[in-house]
Formats: sequence, structure tokens, C-alpha cells
Amino acid sequence: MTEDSRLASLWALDEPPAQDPAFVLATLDRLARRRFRIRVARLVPLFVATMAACWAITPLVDALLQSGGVAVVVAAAIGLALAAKYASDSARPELM
Amino acid sequence: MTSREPFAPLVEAHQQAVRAFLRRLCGDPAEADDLAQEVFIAAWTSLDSFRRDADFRLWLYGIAYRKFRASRRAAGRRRKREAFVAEIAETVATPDADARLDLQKAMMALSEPQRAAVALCLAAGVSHAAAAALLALPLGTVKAHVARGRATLLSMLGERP
Repeated sequence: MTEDSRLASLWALDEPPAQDPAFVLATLDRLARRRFRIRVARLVPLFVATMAACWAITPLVDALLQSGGVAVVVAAAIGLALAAKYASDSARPELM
Repeated sequence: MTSREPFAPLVEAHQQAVRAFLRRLCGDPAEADDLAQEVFIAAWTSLDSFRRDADFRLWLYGIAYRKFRASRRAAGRRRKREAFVAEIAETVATPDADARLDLQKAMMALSEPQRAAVALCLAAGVSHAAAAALLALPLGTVKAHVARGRATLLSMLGERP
């Protein structure tokens, strides 16, 4: 046995398995938790901004509702919901 | 790969190489696996910075080496590893385990850059040039680390009866 093949055979003893579902699952579990934290961190400022905007436009919405502009209010609400969904979509790859 | 492809197949495809590299650097399989998970999390987080024409495995090795260096700076890691090696020495007596422990001890006798160069070039089959880029060392230094590291390993392993 040559010196290099001896080293190679020793390293082979310590080689992790080629397929290790337990390790992959544990890694994906940690990734999922990381992704959840990233999403929460991203949504908190959006939530605060949305609440501030709602508070700011409350007089305008009241005026619109009283003047029969319900369709405008509904359209604005849908627009806000779509914007929130777009902002929360991750640019990261799916885990599975 | 693109940032929208599922990540699980990438973990499956590269876990063995990353874990093996970290085991050779750390000497402790449990610590190496923990670091390997952090490597994949870091890769997932910074996937946008991966150059599409680059070798994904080499990129992971680079992250793994930086994670390893950072973990060395954390207090207590060294004591934990030494305790682990001592524990194995006391409890395991099979020939394979003896050989593995001998190799582990010999690897731990190398300096960190030497160990990284040996783990990359001799154990993982990475080219000297790629290892030099990955470790941010001159090519000649990497070649010297590999040659000296190999000589040290063979010398220490040769002393075993």
C-alpha cells in the first residue's frame, strides 16, 4: 500500500454517509426556522407602516364611506393586501 | 442553479463533502455536523451572492472554512474537542476506531491553514490553485502546507506499531 493510498483509506473511515436523510432533515428544519425569523423580521416594519397608514387615512376613509365611495375603499384594501403578499414572498429558494 | 430551485437536493448532494471537510478540520464529528448545518443555512441566506459560473461545492468549502475559523475564535471549542478525543481514547478499542483516532490526532497536530490545505487538496481532491483561492493564500504557500502536512501525517501515522 502506498503512502497516499494509506492516507486515503484512513480518510475513508471517517467519511460521512453519501445519503443521510437525518442530517438533511435536521438542516432543513434549522433552515425553516431561520426563514420564519426572516419573514417575521420583514413583516414587522410592514405591519407598523400599514397601521400608521391606516391611522393616517382614517378621516379620508370615513369621508369616502359617508359619501358612498365604498368601491374605492374596497379597491384600496385589495391593493394593500396584494402589496403585503408581494412583500412577504421570499426571494430565497423553497426548501423542498 | 437559480435562487428559486429547491434547496433540499443541494443539501443532499453536498452534505457528505462539507461534513467530511469539517470533520478533518474540527476533529469532532458532532461539532463538524453542527457547523455543516450552519454552512448550509449561510449558503441559503447568501445564495444571491453566488456567482453562477463558480463551483458550488468550492463555494460551500469557502463558507465552511470561514465558519470553522469563526468557531475557533469562540471560547471553549478547543476544550470540548480535546475532551471528545480523550473520551474516544478511553472507550473505543476497534482497529478502525484506533486508526481513525490516530489520523484525527495527526490532523490536529497540523496548524489550521496546513490542516485546511491537506483536507482540501489531499482528502477532497481540490486543486492547489482552487484551494489557494479559497483559503486566500498564495499558491506556493498552499503547496508548501500540503507537502509539509502530508509529511507530518505520514511521520506521525508511521510511528504507530
